[in-house]
Amino acid sequence: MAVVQLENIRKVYDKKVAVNSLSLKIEPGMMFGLLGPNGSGKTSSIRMMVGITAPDSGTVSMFGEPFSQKLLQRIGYLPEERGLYKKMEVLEQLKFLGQLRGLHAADAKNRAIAWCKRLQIDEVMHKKTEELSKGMQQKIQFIATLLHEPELIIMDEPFSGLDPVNAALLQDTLMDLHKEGRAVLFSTHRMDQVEKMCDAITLIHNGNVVLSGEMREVKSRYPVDRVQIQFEGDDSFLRHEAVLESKKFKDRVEIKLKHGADAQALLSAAAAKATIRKFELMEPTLEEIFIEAAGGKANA
Amino acid sequence: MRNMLLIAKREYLERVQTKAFVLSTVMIPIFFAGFMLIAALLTKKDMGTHHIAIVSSDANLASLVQKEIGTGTAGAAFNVDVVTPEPQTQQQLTAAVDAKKLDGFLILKSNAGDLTHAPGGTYYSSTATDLQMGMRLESAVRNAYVQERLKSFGVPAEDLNGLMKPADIELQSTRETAKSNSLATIFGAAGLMMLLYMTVLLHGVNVGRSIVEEKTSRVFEVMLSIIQPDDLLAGKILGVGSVGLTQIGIWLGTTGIVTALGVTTSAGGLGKVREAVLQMPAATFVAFALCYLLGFIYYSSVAAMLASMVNSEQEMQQMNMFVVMPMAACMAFVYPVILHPDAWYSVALSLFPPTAPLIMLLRVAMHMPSLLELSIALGLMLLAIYVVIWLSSRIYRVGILMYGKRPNLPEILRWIRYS
Repeated sequence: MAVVQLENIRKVYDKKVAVNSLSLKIEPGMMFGLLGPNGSGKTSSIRMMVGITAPDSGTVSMFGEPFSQKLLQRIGYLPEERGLYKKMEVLEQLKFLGQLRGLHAADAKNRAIAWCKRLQIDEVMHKKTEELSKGMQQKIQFIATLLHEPELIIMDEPFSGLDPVNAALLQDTLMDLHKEGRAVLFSTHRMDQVEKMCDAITLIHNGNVVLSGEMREVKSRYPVDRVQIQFEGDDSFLRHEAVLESKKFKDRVEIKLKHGADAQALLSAAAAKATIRKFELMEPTLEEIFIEAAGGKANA
Repeated sequence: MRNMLLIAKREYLERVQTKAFVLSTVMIPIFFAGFMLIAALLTKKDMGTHHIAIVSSDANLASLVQKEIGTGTAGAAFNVDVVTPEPQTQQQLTAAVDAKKLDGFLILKSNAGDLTHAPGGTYYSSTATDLQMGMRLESAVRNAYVQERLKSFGVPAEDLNGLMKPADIELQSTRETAKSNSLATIFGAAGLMMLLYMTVLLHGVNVGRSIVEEKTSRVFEVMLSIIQPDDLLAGKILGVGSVGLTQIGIWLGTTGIVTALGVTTSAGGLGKVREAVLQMPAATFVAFALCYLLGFIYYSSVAAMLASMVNSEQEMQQMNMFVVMPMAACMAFVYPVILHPDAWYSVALSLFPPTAPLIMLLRVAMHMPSLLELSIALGLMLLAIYVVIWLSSRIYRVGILMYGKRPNLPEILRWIRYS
């Protein structure tokens, strides 16, 4: 039984097609990435999943049944637009949100305290939200999403605006939840995060799906034609017939090979001219795959 | 229901625990009481000793007018001089007025033998807008003239006082057995109308403001992913509304205790209203309370619906007129409804939800409408509240996701269809 199943959902605002014929399936325990540039339709898709808006056509199923409000108790949703009641104390706010999700007051409070300790914000539990930094507020929302131990966690751009330390802390927490067997869907335009964390992805652009599937399977569709070389000396090997294009960085060069080109021949040519410290044959990054799939067009 | 109550509790506690609530609860009555006290003091000052002169060649009539002026004017004292007209009299008296030695002077004109009219005259003072003095002089001159004429017909002096007193007429409905003070009841109903009007202005509009705040602070998306928009709006109306009702309750309760302890005087209009309230049947109290509560909920719901369409407090302020306008329109109908509480327009306005709470309050005060009419009004109000909250929640759900210009009607209709 799929935790989430979308079938051909479509949403149009006035004349703008926000989501066009999106289908996806998230199995229990899966870490799923919804990718796309800004304005691609990620948030619109998620809002339809959690019932904030209804699709114009297509169906949304959760836990094997058509979406209904009562299923929200099994879902934890962190929206992209962060918002908390500014005048409330952190602990009171978490208790209130936990109660709304069906927890008893005492239970909600105990869980909130435990989570605050886990995310290292227990010293601000009795402060008003408005007194906290943006990063702190984001952690509070993160906790509010998880307090009722949802089976499905949906997070829209969960790491945006966080410093690297806190982003890593929340990433680790999400990975822990994934290991516990919870299904997680998160959207991002940061392809590197998805590449590290997700089991499966759907890549959307201008409301249309451009790529979808399990991470390994998606990547296997593209040839391993990238080479990274760290070297010292003559760089004339970059004009070798196997090289389609190259990008020079301070300490390395990244090369894309021509279709069917022999990487070994390039290695021999490079070794003949320069001292090679590292020669690595790489599969394309998700970012490169996306750019290729989306035709290199960015949204304004 | 549980979530709605949780929302209501949060909204309620967040507001009543603020210094602003405590301050406004204490300061508003002090502010009003202060104004009333100042007005009373000013009136009392106005009721000090007035020094005026009557200029007339008819010494007998002038003397009667002199006596009449001081009659029946509680709190005010008059020092009235009678002056026989001389060529320089007017100039001398004008100089006395200018020198503030005299408040004014009345030059009585003879009616030149026309016995069908009382003699007229002109009152000169530093201002020509002393209407109260004008009315007092008219009454005094008329009464003096009537007494003089009756005396000339041989009516004994001891009968004159009784003849000059106004007749005492009581108004009593044929449908109500309990004796009631209709004037005091009308004042009571008008007072409640004003209370409802002010409560909506102070707190009903706060429901709208609370929604706008939630939209601008972006909490809405979290809330909508947890609970139904209907519950969210109903909770807000209940919570924010209860703040207003708490404040009103504190004011009414304090007034009740103070009145019961006899701190305020039982004389005059306040005493009559108190007497009327104490004599009021329980059913009238219930009807008043229902009109008040349903009215408050209805107007707050309308404010919530309007707030769902706007993006900022400034826009909300412009929309507030749609909440206030039906209430203001009711004020225009107060007099016709008091005169004809059973007329078709009175009945229609008391059933039409936007005007029902205020107009029904007034009709209940005049005399209790039939149970059927009350039931229809109650049913229509409840239906209207349900429809307004239903529409609000749908507009809210889509409206919060829309930015930029304020929507027009076709867009709002489309929003309702979206959700």
